[in-house]
Amino acid sequence: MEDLLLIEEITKNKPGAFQQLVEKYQTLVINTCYGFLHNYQDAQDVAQEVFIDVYRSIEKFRNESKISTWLYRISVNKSLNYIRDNKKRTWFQSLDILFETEFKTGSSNSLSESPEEIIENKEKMDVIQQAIDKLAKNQKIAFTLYKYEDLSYKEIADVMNISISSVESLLFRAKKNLQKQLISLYKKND
Amino acid sequence: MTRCASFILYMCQNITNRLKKSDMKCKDFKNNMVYYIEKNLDIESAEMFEHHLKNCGSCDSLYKMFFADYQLIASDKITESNPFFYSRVMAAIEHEKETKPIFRLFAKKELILQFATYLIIVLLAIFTGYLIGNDKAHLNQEGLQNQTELSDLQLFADSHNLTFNEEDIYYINTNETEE
Repeated sequence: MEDLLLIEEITKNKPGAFQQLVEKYQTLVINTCYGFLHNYQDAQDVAQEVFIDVYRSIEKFRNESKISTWLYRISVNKSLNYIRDNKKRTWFQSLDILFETEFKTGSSNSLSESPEEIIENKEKMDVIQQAIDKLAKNQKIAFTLYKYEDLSYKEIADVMNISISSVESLLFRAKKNLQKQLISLYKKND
Repeated sequence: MTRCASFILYMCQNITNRLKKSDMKCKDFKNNMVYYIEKNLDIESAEMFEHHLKNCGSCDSLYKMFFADYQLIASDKITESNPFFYSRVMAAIEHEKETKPIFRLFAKKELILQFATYLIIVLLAIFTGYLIGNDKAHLNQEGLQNQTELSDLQLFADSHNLTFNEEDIYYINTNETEE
């Protein structure tokens, strides 16, 4: 079904229309949030908030941009807000977090990997995620959309409301900084 | 003669190209790894990069490590949809509708903890302030009392044309008994 028609049906409270929207875009939203949060449970929580926001404000949606662009924008904002609030909350975090067993689904080749490989890759991913997290805000947004969602420069420019050349420059710097950080981490480990 | 000249020219170009390719230093190689993986380098730079990769052992091992890690980012994605996600969203929406707006603010455990801590800090601050204030008032009262006592003595001294000094209280008392 066309997105515009879908939105029209949601505004008219047609049964099943909102479900269609959620099912069509849930992977997009969860994956975008995951790119920022690096935790499946957190990504699902934020994605849920994204869709609640969409449900509440669907009437405000202007047909100027694609619905996916709108969803990306909300996902990025919600994820960044979540990170900000989480930083504040760390002081209040309870001990149960220490015992929390983190699990993640969707990793493309987790079934074919041995436990040692999974642990090794998890450790490597933690290092990479730390490096991504250290990027400047806009570099991080551009890089996450580019790497996790495979968006084109034009699509990233639409989501971030900037020019394509700015996206190019942001990605160039993001890659450079990421490379720099990873190399310095390798040096530390040697 | 022309054949010989063209052969020399060809050889010179070949040598220049080889020299150019081997021109890339380890530092430049390290700076260009990500761009090579992303295919952002022009043909000439890519050739120089590959040439250096073949001839430098340490850069080769660094590149392999970086390449493996960089590829991990692309594989770290959520690809499967959650069949219960829609029901979860709807349950959250329903719950939000049922919850009164004022209580929505306190819905999160962390928020309650945060609020409680702030409240405790404010109460402690008020209590400490009250204690300090109370102590000060008590001291002021004592001071006032002392002042009253002294002023009574002052009045007595004035009425009897005596010079009164705070330190000479005992002296005045002795005089009184002598009388």
